[in-house]
Amino acid sequence: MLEAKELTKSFGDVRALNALNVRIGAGESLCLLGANGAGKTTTINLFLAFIEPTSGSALVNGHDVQRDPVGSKRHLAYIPEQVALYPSLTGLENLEFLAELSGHRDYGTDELLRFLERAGLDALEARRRVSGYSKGMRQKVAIAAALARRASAFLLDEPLSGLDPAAANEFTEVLADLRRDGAAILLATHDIFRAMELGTTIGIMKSGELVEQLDPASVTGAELEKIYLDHMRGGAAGGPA
Amino acid sequence: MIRAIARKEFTQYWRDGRVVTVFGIVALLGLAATVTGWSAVSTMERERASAVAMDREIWDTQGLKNPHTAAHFSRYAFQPTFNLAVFDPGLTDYVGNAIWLEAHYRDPAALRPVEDAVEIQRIAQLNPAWVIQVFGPLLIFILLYGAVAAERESGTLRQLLAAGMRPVSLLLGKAVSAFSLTGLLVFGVLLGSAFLMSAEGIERLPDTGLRTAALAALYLVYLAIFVFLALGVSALSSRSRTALAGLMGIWIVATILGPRIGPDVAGALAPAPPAHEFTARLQRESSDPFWGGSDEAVQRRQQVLDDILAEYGVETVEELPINYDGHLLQESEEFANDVFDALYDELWGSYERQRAIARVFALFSPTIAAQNVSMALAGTDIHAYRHFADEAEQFRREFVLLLNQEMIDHGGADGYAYVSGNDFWRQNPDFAYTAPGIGDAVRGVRGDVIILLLWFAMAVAVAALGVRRGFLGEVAA
Repeated sequence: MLEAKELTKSFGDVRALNALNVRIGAGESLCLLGANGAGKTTTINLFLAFIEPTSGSALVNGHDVQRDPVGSKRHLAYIPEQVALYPSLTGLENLEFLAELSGHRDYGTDELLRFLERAGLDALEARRRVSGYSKGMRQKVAIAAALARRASAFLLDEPLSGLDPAAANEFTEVLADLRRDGAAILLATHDIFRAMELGTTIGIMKSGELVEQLDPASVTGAELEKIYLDHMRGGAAGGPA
Repeated sequence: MIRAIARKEFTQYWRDGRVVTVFGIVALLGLAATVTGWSAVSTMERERASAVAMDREIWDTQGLKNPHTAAHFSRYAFQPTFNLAVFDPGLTDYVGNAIWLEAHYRDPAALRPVEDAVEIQRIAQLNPAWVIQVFGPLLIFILLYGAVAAERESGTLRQLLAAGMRPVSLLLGKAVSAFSLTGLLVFGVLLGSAFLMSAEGIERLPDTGLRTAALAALYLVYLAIFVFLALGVSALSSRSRTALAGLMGIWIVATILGPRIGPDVAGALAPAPPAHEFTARLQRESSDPFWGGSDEAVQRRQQVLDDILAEYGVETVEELPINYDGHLLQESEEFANDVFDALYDELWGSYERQRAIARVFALFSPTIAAQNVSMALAGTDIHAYRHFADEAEQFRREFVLLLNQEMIDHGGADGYAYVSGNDFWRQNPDFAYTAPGIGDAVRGVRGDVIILLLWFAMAVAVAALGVRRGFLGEVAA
């Protein structure tokens, strides 16, 4: 479960995030839409305890991320836009290392390969060095790492940008599976249509504020796009008909 | 977590051809230096054994000769080149290993191998200790310049921190892997040296085991300094190239420039007297005031005569039951010995002042401090040489006394005409040298040990600063 309570962050005079209140329970996903600088990445950084909030709090599975950064990260997975792995290691070795970092030293090769397979990477690919991997393949390793650490909360920062349609579709399906299995997902994206597919809630951020929360079942893609663009142009949001 | 990081680092080292190549080159250099060191020490010891035997043979068969004349003909004191010189020859090539023991004169050492060396050999001495002192830090810097900076550039640092990894664990994991690899080099070179040191014909230094263990500890602390420095600089640098440039600067100053400039500046600020001037002064001040024609010298000799006549209660030299010429020679020896003590104290003092000044440079170069401690432990520093020179001088005095006493006791009224033969020469003792123990050896380098520990504390502080600033500033980017 991911929860923000009056979460606020200022950088000098600039308010990057203003009194964010959200709660993402098990099996739920919040897709945050917004222009660059809207506060999406700041929100993720606050959940990761990379920066201290000016006020308010961020909680992961009930752990305040500032008071208990280690406990809060135990079951938290973070997947950035560019998943960085060690190029001279294989996908399997990268996964083994990441699993060990999260305290799972007991996985055997077969088990690790199963995580990779579930993330969409077969054994042959898993034994190749990461230097030859595409962006989509690296993201699969990151998903496998999240599975290996038994993550129940996911923070994803623009994971779909730059993926080809097939890879983006595959990735979306894996995330949908994770959500169905009970994961809480916070996803920052520019992709309205993927947000429609993945989100149980869609949030629109502007200038550090969550200006709109929508149920994707209640709007069409075209309506969501119009609402989003209205906000970006600075006009008042128009709700669904 | 630290173990996982260290293991990952090892795998990356292994697969990085550059690391394997550099490590291989340094290991080969270490091996070559060890074999070269062993060969040099073996040769020196073989030559010493041969020279000792020849010296004895010449002495024993010199035939009929006045004992004091024989004291001028005299003998050599040869310093053994001990086993640990295989690892660190220190000043062995510079101070000489043979002292000519003659009456009325304290000679400096001769037979300096460096006199036969070409210029380049004075700049780069290939010995195991030097390989570790210079190439150990270089290897560490190559392994670690990107330890944090490259992780930051590639984005892995952010992900590792997101996964709950503590910055200090990353640093320690990297430290363990780099330290293990360079530690392997130290132990490999030390083990290789220890194996070759045990070869037949090479003399064992007292406390060799303890000294070897202390050398291992010294070099581990020395390399740890560079490990923590590298981690700190890498963590504080925005890019790995910047870190590499900074670390190369540190390497050049610490291992190349510092050890060259320090002694040169020390030599300029506290110059030792030039050899020819010192020799002339020794000669002048030890001989002229006793044997010269000045009133002072005449009075001094008269006093010797008056004293010995009074001692035996006789009026003339002819009535003395001893050989007076022998007695006068021995008195002149004892006069000269006091002069030698004073002048050599001045000389050693100038060397000590040079060391003190050079030690200031150790504040900028831990290599200088490590070199001083390493030479002391290997028994190849100036302190070890002074111990040998003092022991040789003590033997010279006793030996000359023995010869003069032979003339005094058995020469009667023959004066300089008295001669001894081979039977007497064969009874004369050899110079046998025992080097000091480790406690005495390290007494003179306590300041260097403290400087090394200060460097270690500073390096850890730089790494800690890197954890605090270099990591936390990064993650919010």
